[in-house]
Amino acid sequence: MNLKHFSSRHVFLSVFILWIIVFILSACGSAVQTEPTESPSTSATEIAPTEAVVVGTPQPPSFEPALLETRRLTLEFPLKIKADSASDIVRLTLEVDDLDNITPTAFYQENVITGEVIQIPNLYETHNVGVETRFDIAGLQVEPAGDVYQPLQQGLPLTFYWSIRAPQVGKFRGTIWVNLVFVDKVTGEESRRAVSAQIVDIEAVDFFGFSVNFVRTSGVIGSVLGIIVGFPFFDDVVKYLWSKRKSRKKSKRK
Amino acid sequence: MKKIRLILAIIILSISIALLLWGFLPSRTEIRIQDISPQEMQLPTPSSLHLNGMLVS
Repeated sequence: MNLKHFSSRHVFLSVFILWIIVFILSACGSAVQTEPTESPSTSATEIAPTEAVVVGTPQPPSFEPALLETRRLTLEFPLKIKADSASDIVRLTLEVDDLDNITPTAFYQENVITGEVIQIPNLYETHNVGVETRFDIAGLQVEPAGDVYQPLQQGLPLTFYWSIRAPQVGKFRGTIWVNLVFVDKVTGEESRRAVSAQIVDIEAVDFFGFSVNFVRTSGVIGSVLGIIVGFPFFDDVVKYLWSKRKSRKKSKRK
Repeated sequence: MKKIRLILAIIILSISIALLLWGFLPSRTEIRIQDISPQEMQLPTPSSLHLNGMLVS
Protein backbone atom coordinates (compact mmCIF):
# COMPACT_ATOMS: atom_id res chain seq x y z
CA MET A 1 0.00 0.00 0.00
CA ASN A 2 1.25 3.42 -0.95
CA LEU A 3 1.97 5.43 2.20
CA LYS A 4 1.08 8.79 0.63
CA HIS A 5 -2.22 7.47 -0.67
CA PHE A 6 -2.97 5.87 2.65
CA SER A 7 -2.48 9.09 4.62
CA SER A 8 -4.65 11.26 2.37
CA ARG A 9 -7.37 8.68 2.57
CA HIS A 10 -7.15 8.72 6.33
CA VAL A 11 -7.37 12.49 6.41
CA PHE A 12 -10.42 12.54 4.20
CA LEU A 13 -11.99 9.71 6.17
CA SER A 14 -11.58 11.58 9.43
CA VAL A 15 -12.99 14.81 7.96
CA PHE A 16 -15.93 12.96 6.47
CA ILE A 17 -16.72 11.16 9.74
CA LEU A 18 -16.47 14.49 11.56
CA TRP A 19 -18.90 16.02 9.10
CA ILE A 20 -21.37 13.16 9.59
CA ILE A 21 -21.16 13.57 13.40
CA VAL A 22 -21.71 17.30 13.15
CA PHE A 23 -24.65 16.84 10.83
CA ILE A 24 -26.29 14.39 13.25
CA LEU A 25 -25.53 16.73 16.18
CA SER A 26 -27.00 19.64 14.30
CA ALA A 27 -30.17 17.69 13.60
CA CYS A 28 -30.40 16.73 17.29
CA GLY A 29 -29.50 20.24 18.35
CA SER A 30 -32.58 21.80 16.86
CA ALA A 31 -34.69 19.28 18.78
CA VAL A 32 -32.84 19.99 22.01
CA GLN A 33 -33.50 23.67 21.56
CA THR A 34 -37.22 23.24 21.60
CA GLU A 35 -37.25 20.74 24.41
CA PRO A 36 -36.67 22.30 27.81
CA THR A 37 -33.76 20.81 29.72
CA GLU A 38 -34.62 19.26 33.02
CA SER A 39 -31.24 19.02 34.68
CA PRO A 40 -30.33 22.28 36.29
CA SER A 41 -27.00 20.88 37.46
CA THR A 42 -25.23 20.98 34.08
CA SER A 43 -24.92 24.65 33.28
CA ALA A 44 -27.22 25.92 35.89
CA THR A 45 -26.71 28.97 37.95
CA GLU A 46 -28.58 28.31 41.10
CA ILE A 47 -29.60 31.36 43.00
CA ALA A 48 -30.46 30.41 46.48
CA PRO A 49 -32.76 32.65 48.46
CA THR A 50 -29.86 33.41 50.78
CA GLU A 51 -28.08 35.25 47.97
CA ALA A 52 -30.78 37.86 47.81
CA VAL A 53 -30.24 41.00 49.78
CA VAL A 54 -32.63 41.04 52.66
CA VAL A 55 -32.86 44.37 54.36
CA GLY A 56 -34.56 44.92 57.66
CA THR A 57 -35.21 43.16 60.91
CA PRO A 58 -36.24 39.48 61.10
CA GLN A 59 -39.96 39.06 60.72
CA PRO A 60 -41.95 37.74 63.64
CA PRO A 61 -43.80 34.45 63.17
CA SER A 62 -47.05 34.94 61.36
CA PHE A 63 -50.23 32.96 61.78
CA GLU A 64 -52.09 34.66 59.00
CA PRO A 65 -53.68 32.60 56.25
CA ALA A 66 -51.05 31.25 53.87
CA LEU A 67 -50.54 28.78 51.04
CA LEU A 68 -49.40 25.76 53.00
CA GLU A 69 -46.74 24.59 50.62
CA THR A 70 -43.26 25.61 49.67
CA ARG A 71 -42.98 26.52 46.03
CA ARG A 72 -39.88 26.50 43.87
CA LEU A 73 -39.64 29.06 41.14
CA THR A 74 -37.42 27.98 38.25
CA LEU A 75 -36.57 30.40 35.50
CA GLU A 76 -34.84 29.17 32.35
CA PHE A 77 -33.77 31.58 29.64
CA PRO A 78 -31.10 31.75 26.89
CA LEU A 79 -28.11 33.98 27.58
CA LYS A 80 -27.49 34.48 23.85
CA ILE A 81 -29.93 34.28 21.01
CA LYS A 82 -29.39 34.57 17.28
CA ALA A 83 -30.64 37.83 15.85
CA ASP A 84 -33.34 37.71 13.20
CA SER A 85 -33.78 33.99 13.71
CA ALA A 86 -36.51 31.63 14.89
CA SER A 87 -37.69 32.46 18.36
CA ASP A 88 -36.25 31.10 21.60
CA ILE A 89 -38.19 30.05 24.66
CA VAL A 90 -38.14 31.47 28.17
CA ARG A 91 -39.70 29.13 30.72
CA LEU A 92 -40.85 29.87 34.23
CA THR A 93 -42.04 27.03 36.43
CA LEU A 94 -43.65 27.32 39.82
CA GLU A 95 -43.52 23.81 41.19
CA VAL A 96 -44.20 22.38 44.62
CA ASP A 97 -41.06 21.66 46.59
CA ASP A 98 -40.50 17.90 46.58
CA LEU A 99 -39.47 17.90 50.22
CA ASP A 100 -42.69 19.67 51.15
CA ASN A 101 -40.89 20.68 54.30
CA ILE A 102 -43.29 23.01 55.92
CA THR A 103 -42.36 22.72 59.52
CA PRO A 104 -44.47 24.82 61.81
CA THR A 105 -42.22 26.41 64.36
CA ALA A 106 -42.73 28.90 67.11
CA PHE A 107 -40.26 31.39 68.51
CA TYR A 108 -40.26 31.52 72.25
CA GLN A 109 -38.16 33.55 74.67
CA GLU A 110 -34.85 34.60 73.16
CA ASN A 111 -34.48 32.42 70.10
CA VAL A 112 -35.46 29.19 71.84
CA ILE A 113 -37.44 27.27 69.27
CA THR A 114 -40.04 24.85 70.40
CA GLY A 115 -41.68 22.36 68.08
CA GLU A 116 -45.28 23.33 68.35
CA VAL A 117 -47.99 22.66 65.83
CA ILE A 118 -49.54 25.87 64.62
CA GLN A 119 -52.81 25.91 62.80
CA ILE A 120 -52.24 28.16 59.83
CA PRO A 121 -55.45 28.79 57.86
CA ASN A 122 -55.18 27.52 54.31
CA LEU A 123 -55.62 30.30 51.78
CA TYR A 124 -56.78 27.86 49.13
CA GLU A 125 -59.94 27.26 51.17
CA THR A 126 -60.90 30.89 51.44
CA HIS A 127 -59.49 32.40 48.25
CA ASN A 128 -59.13 31.70 44.57
CA VAL A 129 -55.39 31.89 44.07
CA GLY A 130 -53.69 32.69 40.79
CA VAL A 131 -50.31 33.60 39.46
CA GLU A 132 -49.84 36.61 37.21
CA THR A 133 -46.57 37.01 35.36
CA ARG A 134 -45.19 39.61 33.00
CA PHE A 135 -42.01 39.72 30.93
CA ASP A 136 -40.88 43.29 30.32
CA ILE A 137 -37.93 43.69 27.99
CA ALA A 138 -37.29 46.55 25.59
CA GLY A 139 -36.03 45.75 22.09
CA LEU A 140 -37.14 42.12 21.94
CA GLN A 141 -40.37 40.73 20.55
CA VAL A 142 -42.07 38.82 23.37
CA GLU A 143 -45.10 36.57 22.97
CA PRO A 144 -47.37 36.65 24.87
CA ALA A 145 -46.90 40.29 25.73
CA GLY A 146 -48.38 41.81 28.87
CA ASP A 147 -49.80 40.01 31.88
CA VAL A 148 -50.29 36.26 31.78
CA TYR A 149 -52.60 34.72 34.38
CA GLN A 150 -52.98 31.11 35.45
CA PRO A 151 -54.99 29.78 38.39
CA LEU A 152 -52.92 28.10 41.09
CA GLN A 153 -54.11 24.88 42.62
CA GLN A 154 -52.76 23.21 45.72
CA GLY A 155 -49.98 20.75 44.97
CA LEU A 156 -49.99 21.35 41.24
CA PRO A 157 -47.16 23.00 39.30
CA LEU A 158 -47.55 25.91 36.93
CA THR A 159 -45.49 26.67 33.86
CA PHE A 160 -45.31 29.87 31.84
CA TYR A 161 -43.67 30.09 28.43
CA TRP A 162 -42.58 33.15 26.51
CA SER A 163 -41.35 33.15 22.98
CA ILE A 164 -38.68 35.77 22.34
CA ARG A 165 -37.18 37.01 19.09
CA ALA A 166 -34.53 39.63 18.45
CA PRO A 167 -34.97 41.73 15.30
CA GLN A 168 -31.46 43.17 15.64
CA VAL A 169 -28.14 42.58 17.36
CA GLY A 170 -27.63 43.99 20.85
CA LYS A 171 -27.76 43.48 24.58
CA PHE A 172 -31.17 43.54 26.19
CA ARG A 173 -32.14 43.67 29.84
CA GLY A 174 -35.60 42.88 31.13
CA THR A 175 -37.56 41.83 34.17
CA ILE A 176 -39.85 38.90 34.77
CA TRP A 177 -42.45 39.73 37.38
CA VAL A 178 -44.33 37.10 39.34
CA ASN A 179 -47.36 38.16 41.37
CA LEU A 180 -49.77 36.13 43.43
CA VAL A 181 -53.40 37.13 43.01
CA PHE A 182 -55.87 36.32 45.77
CA VAL A 183 -59.60 36.66 45.19
CA ASP A 184 -61.82 36.20 48.22
CA LYS A 185 -64.41 33.52 47.53
CA VAL A 186 -67.06 35.32 49.60
CA THR A 187 -66.51 39.02 49.01
CA GLY A 188 -64.70 38.85 45.66
CA GLU A 189 -62.08 41.24 46.95
CA GLU A 190 -58.85 41.00 44.95
CA SER A 191 -55.40 41.48 46.38
CA ARG A 192 -51.94 40.97 44.93
CA ARG A 193 -48.54 40.17 46.25
CA ALA A 194 -45.27 40.41 44.36
CA VAL A 195 -43.30 37.22 44.83
CA SER A 196 -40.36 37.65 42.53
CA ALA A 197 -38.77 40.08 40.10
CA GLN A 198 -36.04 38.40 38.08
CA ILE A 199 -33.72 40.56 36.02
CA VAL A 200 -32.61 38.82 32.82
CA ASP A 201 -29.84 39.82 30.44
CA ILE A 202 -30.08 38.47 26.90
CA GLU A 203 -27.64 39.15 24.09
CA ALA A 204 -28.63 38.89 20.44
CA VAL A 205 -25.74 37.97 18.15
CA ASP A 206 -25.08 37.33 14.46
CA PHE A 207 -22.22 35.74 12.48
CA PHE A 208 -19.94 38.61 11.42
CA GLY A 209 -22.91 40.57 10.12
CA PHE A 210 -24.46 37.64 8.30
CA SER A 211 -27.96 36.44 9.17
CA VAL A 212 -28.63 33.00 10.62
CA ASN A 213 -30.46 31.80 7.53
CA PHE A 214 -27.55 32.81 5.31
CA VAL A 215 -25.07 31.00 7.58
CA ARG A 216 -27.17 27.82 7.68
CA THR A 217 -27.70 27.79 3.93
CA SER A 218 -23.99 28.39 3.31
CA GLY A 219 -23.14 25.53 5.68
CA VAL A 220 -25.39 23.08 3.86
CA ILE A 221 -24.23 24.17 0.38
CA GLY A 222 -20.59 24.08 1.49
CA SER A 223 -20.98 20.58 2.88
CA VAL A 224 -22.44 19.30 -0.37
CA LEU A 225 -19.70 21.04 -2.35
CA GLY A 226 -17.03 19.58 -0.03
CA ILE A 227 -18.36 16.07 -0.58
CA ILE A 228 -18.42 16.54 -4.35
CA VAL A 229 -14.86 17.89 -4.40
CA GLY A 230 -13.65 15.13 -2.11
CA PHE A 231 -15.67 12.38 -3.77
CA PRO A 232 -12.63 10.49 -5.24
CA PHE A 233 -11.22 10.25 -1.75
CA PHE A 234 -14.58 9.09 -0.48
CA ASP A 235 -14.39 6.30 -3.05
CA ASP A 236 -10.94 5.36 -1.70
CA VAL A 237 -12.26 5.42 1.84
CA VAL A 238 -15.10 3.06 0.99
CA LYS A 239 -12.71 0.67 -0.75
CA TYR A 240 -10.33 0.84 2.21
CA LEU A 241 -13.10 0.08 4.69
CA TRP A 242 -14.35 -2.77 2.51
CA SER A 243 -10.91 -4.35 2.35
CA LYS A 244 -10.50 -3.97 6.11
CA ARG A 245 -13.81 -5.71 6.69
CA LYS A 246 -12.86 -8.53 4.36
CA SER A 247 -9.51 -9.05 6.06
CA ARG A 248 -11.21 -9.11 9.47
CA LYS A 249 -13.65 -11.79 8.28
CA LYS A 250 -10.77 -13.83 6.96
CA SER A 251 -8.88 -13.62 10.26
CA LYS A 252 -12.02 -14.69 12.16
CA ARG A 253 -12.39 -17.78 9.94
CA LYS A 254 -8.79 -18.76 10.67
CA MET B 1 -3.58 17.67 -8.46
CA LYS B 2 -5.17 15.07 -6.21
CA LYS B 3 -3.50 16.60 -3.17
CA ILE B 4 -4.78 20.11 -4.00
CA ARG B 5 -8.28 18.73 -4.45
CA LEU B 6 -8.05 16.96 -1.09
CA ILE B 7 -6.90 20.15 0.65
CA LEU B 8 -9.68 22.14 -1.02
CA ALA B 9 -12.28 19.57 0.07
CA ILE B 10 -11.00 19.68 3.65
CA ILE B 11 -11.08 23.49 3.74
CA ILE B 12 -14.61 23.66 2.31
CA LEU B 13 -15.87 20.97 4.69
CA SER B 14 -14.20 22.59 7.71
CA ILE B 15 -15.75 26.00 6.99
CA SER B 16 -19.13 24.39 6.32
CA ILE B 17 -18.93 22.46 9.60
CA ALA B 18 -18.17 25.68 11.48
CA LEU B 19 -21.13 27.44 9.83
CA LEU B 20 -23.48 24.52 10.54
CA LEU B 21 -22.32 24.36 14.16
CA TRP B 22 -22.97 28.05 14.70
CA GLY B 23 -26.27 27.94 12.87
CA PHE B 24 -27.85 24.91 14.47
CA LEU B 25 -26.39 24.42 17.93
CA PRO B 26 -28.85 25.45 20.65
CA SER B 27 -28.02 28.51 22.67
CA ARG B 28 -26.71 28.18 26.22
CA THR B 29 -29.39 28.66 28.83
CA GLU B 30 -29.27 29.86 32.39
CA ILE B 31 -31.43 28.34 35.08
CA ARG B 32 -32.30 30.25 38.23
CA ILE B 33 -34.00 28.60 41.14
CA GLN B 34 -35.70 30.45 43.96
CA ASP B 35 -37.57 28.85 46.83
CA ILE B 36 -40.72 30.59 47.95
CA SER B 37 -41.78 29.88 51.50
CA PRO B 38 -45.40 29.97 52.71
CA GLN B 39 -44.60 33.22 54.54
CA GLU B 40 -44.02 34.86 51.18
CA MET B 41 -47.33 33.60 49.85
CA GLN B 42 -49.60 35.17 52.41
CA LEU B 43 -52.21 37.79 51.84
CA PRO B 44 -50.63 41.20 51.45
CA THR B 45 -50.24 42.98 54.73
CA PRO B 46 -48.71 46.42 55.34
CA SER B 47 -45.44 44.70 56.28
CA SER B 48 -45.40 42.66 53.06
CA LEU B 49 -45.35 45.85 51.03
CA HIS B 50 -41.76 46.39 52.09
CA LEU B 51 -39.11 45.16 49.69
CA ASN B 52 -37.62 42.73 52.21
CA GLY B 53 -40.38 40.27 51.49
CA MET B 54 -39.60 40.12 47.80
CA LEU B 55 -36.49 38.60 46.35
CA VAL B 56 -34.88 40.57 43.61
CA SER B 57 -32.05 39.00 41.67
